[in-house]
Amino acid sequence: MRRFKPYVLSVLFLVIFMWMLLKGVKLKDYVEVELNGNILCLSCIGIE
Amino acid sequence: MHRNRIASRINKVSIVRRIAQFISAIGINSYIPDIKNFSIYQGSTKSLCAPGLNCYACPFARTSCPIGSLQHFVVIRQFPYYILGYIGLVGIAFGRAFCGWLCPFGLLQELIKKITSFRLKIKQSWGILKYVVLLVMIPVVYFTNEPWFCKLCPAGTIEGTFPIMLSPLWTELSKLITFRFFIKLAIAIVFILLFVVIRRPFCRYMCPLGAMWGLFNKISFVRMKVDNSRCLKCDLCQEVCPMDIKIYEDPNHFDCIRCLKCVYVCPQKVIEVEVGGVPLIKPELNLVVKRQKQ
Repeated sequence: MRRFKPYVLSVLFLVIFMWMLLKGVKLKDYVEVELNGNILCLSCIGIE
Repeated sequence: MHRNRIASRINKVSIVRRIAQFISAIGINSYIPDIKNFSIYQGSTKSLCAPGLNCYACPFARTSCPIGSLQHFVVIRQFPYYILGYIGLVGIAFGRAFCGWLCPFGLLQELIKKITSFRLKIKQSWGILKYVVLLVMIPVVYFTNEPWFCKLCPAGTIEGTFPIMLSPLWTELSKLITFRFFIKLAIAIVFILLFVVIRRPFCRYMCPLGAMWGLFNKISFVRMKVDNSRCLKCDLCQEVCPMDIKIYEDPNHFDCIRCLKCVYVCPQKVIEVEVGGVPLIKPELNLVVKRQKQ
């Protein structure tokens, strides 16, 4: 049991980030990511 | 002779890692654009973040850059649940392992470093720079409404600008060039030169994604463990480490990319990999060394 004690914090963070990801999916953030990625990023190629 | 001995020890794990890096880099950049009607990939997989730094302006990219997307959310004033959830989940599961095993920009740096064996050593403490970049980036993007990291990022120039310069699209785009283009180009050239003499300099001193994943190294499910009582402090681990770390000083250093080279090169086999407290890789001490100790 002592071996797993240092991982309590990891489990807590896992739950928090899982919740964040699921909330992002629920809010359809991925659509925003896709739309942004589908446009040629002029900043990335250095001309804007 | 000494180098050959080290090379044979780490050979297997290096081959597996290199295959993983190539599969990731080719998989992420597997789109072949139409030469005549040139355009970047536009499809549903762009809603996924790349497992590392890979510019979405790259004509071959099928995924989005996590840092570019993060900046976009800051610009549109929307909390980036999806991006932070993704970065956090990867970080808590593997720490910086994605940097070592899947990041295409990391692979590029490692391949360029192979040009020469000359190595410029820089103090490990300079690694704090990437946290400065991360801390400065967010407010600057917020207050200027511009993705400033993208505007200067050498990964964008190497993966995005260079291939686009060879495309028919460049005839039109080149008319829009301003002075800033040459600054970005100069930054990329400086970094390419640094790649030749320093091991993974961008990952160590600049990458905000690596900085975020590095924060999780000490609390991630995948962790390194060193038995310091048996360690000879021979520094072979540092010699093979792509991030120049002495793993015995801090087994879960924020720069450790879990490449596992040190695990296999260690003559005393004092380095272990644990997943959730359970040993995953625990190399056995060579019988000859065991007998000598007895």
